[in-house]
Amino acid sequence: MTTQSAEFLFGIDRKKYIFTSLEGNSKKTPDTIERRPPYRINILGDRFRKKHVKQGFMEVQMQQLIGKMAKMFPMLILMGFMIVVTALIIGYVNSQNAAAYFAETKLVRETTLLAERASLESTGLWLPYFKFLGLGLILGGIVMALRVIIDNLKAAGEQVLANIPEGARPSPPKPPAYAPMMPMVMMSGWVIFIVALIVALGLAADARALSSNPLPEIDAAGSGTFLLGQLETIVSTSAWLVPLKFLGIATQFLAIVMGLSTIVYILTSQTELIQKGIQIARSSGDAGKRDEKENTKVTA
Amino acid sequence: MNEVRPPDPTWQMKVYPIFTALGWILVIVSFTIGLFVLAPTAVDYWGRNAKSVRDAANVGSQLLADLGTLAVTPRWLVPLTFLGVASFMVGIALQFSTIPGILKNRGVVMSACFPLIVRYGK
Repeated sequence: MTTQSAEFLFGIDRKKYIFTSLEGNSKKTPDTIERRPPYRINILGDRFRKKHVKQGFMEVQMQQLIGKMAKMFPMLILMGFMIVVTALIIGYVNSQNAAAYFAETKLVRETTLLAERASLESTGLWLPYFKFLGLGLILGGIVMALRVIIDNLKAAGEQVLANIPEGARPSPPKPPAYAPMMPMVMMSGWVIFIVALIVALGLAADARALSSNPLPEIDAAGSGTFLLGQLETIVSTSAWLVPLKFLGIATQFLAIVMGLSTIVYILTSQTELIQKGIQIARSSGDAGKRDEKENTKVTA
Repeated sequence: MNEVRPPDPTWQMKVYPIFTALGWILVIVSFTIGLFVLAPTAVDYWGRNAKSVRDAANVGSQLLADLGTLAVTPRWLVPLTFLGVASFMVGIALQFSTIPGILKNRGVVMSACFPLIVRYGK
């Protein structure tokens, strides 16, 4: 907000402003502007500035926390891999149950082996989503690894820039707008996987309850019956739940794309900063040589 | 040799957003079709008709058309979804492919820097 716009908005007479220094020391007696150094005019009060300083501080704290969490990426990858291996074991056990189930005649299968059928149907409903949760954790670990690379690249760049005197040091470029969103996008992917798994577990419970009835009874269920309602729920929910897990995968891939773009941006910007650093070094080196020449002339 | 420049923009950096956007579009489309086409059709087919009614559906009836939708749509929708996932992976691979060129340029930059570091260093 400029001084002129503030005056217009709040209808404040300039002579009645409370002039405060940048350090926040306020003086009740206004002074003429010409005699005092340029102070920032505190229109909305210290509370407004403190709120924004506090918000910026909290964002920095959150980014630091995310940076610390990112170093745990091997654990995330390991957890995801263990989940996928567990899904493989459960799938194998399920396949052996299916082999035993389908070894019996149709009449026995549809009227007697109800518990086995319930287990087969329910496992087939929740297991794929458990597997994709594992894949999501692995992809999240990859995103965190990219974050570690980004943090290390930035730290290395700051370390190189520290060799240039503070007055001549070029300012580091602002990060792209999507860079801070990378962890949020990754976590959104995880939320999608967890929601899909929870819904799938609910469906698995429905499938277990439905399959506990003999198949002729399910086939005979008419419109409006509880059994047909359960069948409807299972089939209609699966129709959107299957693409939902791919939406979760796509979200994780988007986070990876953001991370890679940030890395490419940092590498390119660092080359430009090195170029500026070389120019500064050359100009200061040439200035040093000129000073030496003048000193030798004077002494002579 | 002393000229330091950032690496030239590669074609991969211009092309990868297309693959990322394509992947996102394909996955969103498959989710939308699943939610707004397949789910209501499944409700109509399975939820409102007993098995005997479903099995007795005649040619040209709405019930048989619903069955057709439920049987046919997933057969192309699932490969389409995988195509979206594959597009994402191609975009990621294109991004990765630009990094060796950037690091090679970094080698040129550092070899230009070292003489200056030696000359102007304390």
